[in-house]
Amino acid sequence: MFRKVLVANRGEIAIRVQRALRELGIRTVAVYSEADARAPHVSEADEAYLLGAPEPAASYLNHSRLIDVARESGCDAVHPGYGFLSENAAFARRCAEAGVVFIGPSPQAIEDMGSKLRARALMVQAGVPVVPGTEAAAGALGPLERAARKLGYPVLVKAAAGGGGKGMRIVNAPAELERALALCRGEAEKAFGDGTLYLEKYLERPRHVELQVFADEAGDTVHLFERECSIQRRHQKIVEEAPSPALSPALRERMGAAAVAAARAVGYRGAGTVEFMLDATGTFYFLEMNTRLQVEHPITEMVTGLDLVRLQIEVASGARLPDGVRHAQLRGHAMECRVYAEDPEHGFLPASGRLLRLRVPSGPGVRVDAALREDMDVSIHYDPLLAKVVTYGHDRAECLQRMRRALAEFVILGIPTNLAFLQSILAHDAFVRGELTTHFIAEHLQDWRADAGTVHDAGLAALLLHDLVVGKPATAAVDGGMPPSPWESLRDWRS
Amino acid sequence: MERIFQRGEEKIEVRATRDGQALRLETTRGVVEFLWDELAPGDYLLRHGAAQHRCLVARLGAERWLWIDGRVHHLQVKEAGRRHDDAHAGDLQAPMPGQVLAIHVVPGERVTRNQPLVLMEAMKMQVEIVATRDGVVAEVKARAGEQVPGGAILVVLGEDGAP
Repeated sequence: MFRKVLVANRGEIAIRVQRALRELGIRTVAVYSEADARAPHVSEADEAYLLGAPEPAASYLNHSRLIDVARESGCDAVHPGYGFLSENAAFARRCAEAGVVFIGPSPQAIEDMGSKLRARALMVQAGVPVVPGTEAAAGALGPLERAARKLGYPVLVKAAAGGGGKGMRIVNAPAELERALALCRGEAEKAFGDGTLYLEKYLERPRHVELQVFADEAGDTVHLFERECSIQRRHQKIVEEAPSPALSPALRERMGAAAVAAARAVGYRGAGTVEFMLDATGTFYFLEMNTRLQVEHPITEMVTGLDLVRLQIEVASGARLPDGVRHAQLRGHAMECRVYAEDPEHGFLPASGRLLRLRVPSGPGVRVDAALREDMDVSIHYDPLLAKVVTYGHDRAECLQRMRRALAEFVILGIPTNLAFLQSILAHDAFVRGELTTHFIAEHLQDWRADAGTVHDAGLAALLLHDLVVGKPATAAVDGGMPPSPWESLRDWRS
Repeated sequence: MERIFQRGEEKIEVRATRDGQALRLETTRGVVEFLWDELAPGDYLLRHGAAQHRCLVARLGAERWLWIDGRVHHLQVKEAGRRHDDAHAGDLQAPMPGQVLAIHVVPGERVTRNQPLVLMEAMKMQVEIVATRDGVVAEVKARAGEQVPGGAILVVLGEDGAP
């Protein structure tokens, strides 16, 4: 087993990984940018090293500096978390060259799944269903028009090197095809330096269902059931649950087998996620494989009783998959809500500010993964995820009631969040019935408003009372979002 | 004490008088009497008969934050809206706190409606601030690389021909 591990990440996931390491008796090494010197993931670790300026390229994406820190501090391994360098084959390779274990799959597996067209071809070979579509579509319009007609409109034009919605267009009719191809090629060349395009059948109102897979060094590969992640806004997941309300045991069996086949096709090791789109008829298609730990991994932990991060560490150090994993059982229901620093009053733009007051939910069946502390500044430099609220219940109804209770307990003052929006999702009839698609928000909550409802008189009374008690003029000296001076804070506390 | 709060589009006018542990609240909805207790700084229990509400309150400048009945409310004390009141029709403000990445114009430059003037970044999102109308750049208040609060005036536009 490792003795010391560098966690090459920040925020809640760095704290999550540190906890697993500490439970295993492994020393934790944190890294941080200049913006994060006082961040919770730094103060919790056994050792901490400065990487550089706040910009990710100078800090959390800085390969050379990270390798140097791993070496200097005498780490056996690096855990990349999610995001940042977690799916970077070049970094994984440099770790290996430096004699440090990269806790994740091989660089080759990362590369195979990183290219959409290559992954598609590998999946077809492995017998995993992919969305009907074409190979790389260069050249003449004629054959493409015929291919599109054969697929049936609407079709999707996609960039082979694509991601994040760039170089992607829905084409509803043949007349739109030529223009969409030109636009996508331009976008793709600009964004990815590669204008290669292909066509895919466009699935209307699919569900997003993903399978957790795990494999050890000996190639033993299992799946740990599914997560339904259909509730998304701007391609960002916000509510996830396990199991999916849409899966029968038989369908789960088939999707699980497909996910295991996908992982085996690239010689996968460690924790990975195979994403599928699932239509109303129960037909499913490979979307992509995420070759890392997912943000939403806690819901799988809740319904299996397993610690996926601990397993990652054990498997990376050469251990075989334990029996508890090979014969994992699905029990109860779990849900995750992602709480973001976003301003619903201003189009859900990322928000920042000082966390003036914090109360984290707790009680039966509630887990909160976060890296928050009262009086900390939430900066504008990184992902706006503030916390993940995870609840567990013996069935979906109990789990949902717990989630509503937990979100109502969550107090975050000082930074705008999407908490009220999450509460509206959970209150919606279609959500309660489990009728989820990736278009849920567009179909049901398009006209949602942040300031709906009234403020209770008792709340207004408390606001005025606070000004009377603290005893300062309405707008004090603090203006324009400047932080208060220590003297003012002190006066607040004493009064 | 009197206050006017702004909450989104809504304006809330309230008046409160304190008498020991009693608080009399007047709103456009009527008058209510509460008994209050301060559990901790910014943490209040408001009672009306046997019914009670826990309220957590925080403030920063004119901003007010309130948690009550499982919901967070964000309000502004109205008199403090100076930052925004000062902004004129020709001013381009930062829509959010963030870093100014680039300024595409210089004072005296003629610009047209929707022309990108400033590029900002916050949490990995890049946002172009565009001219709201045709005009001439009268003043550039922001510097590239600078961190600015939400609402900060970045560029002042003058009338065409009269910078």
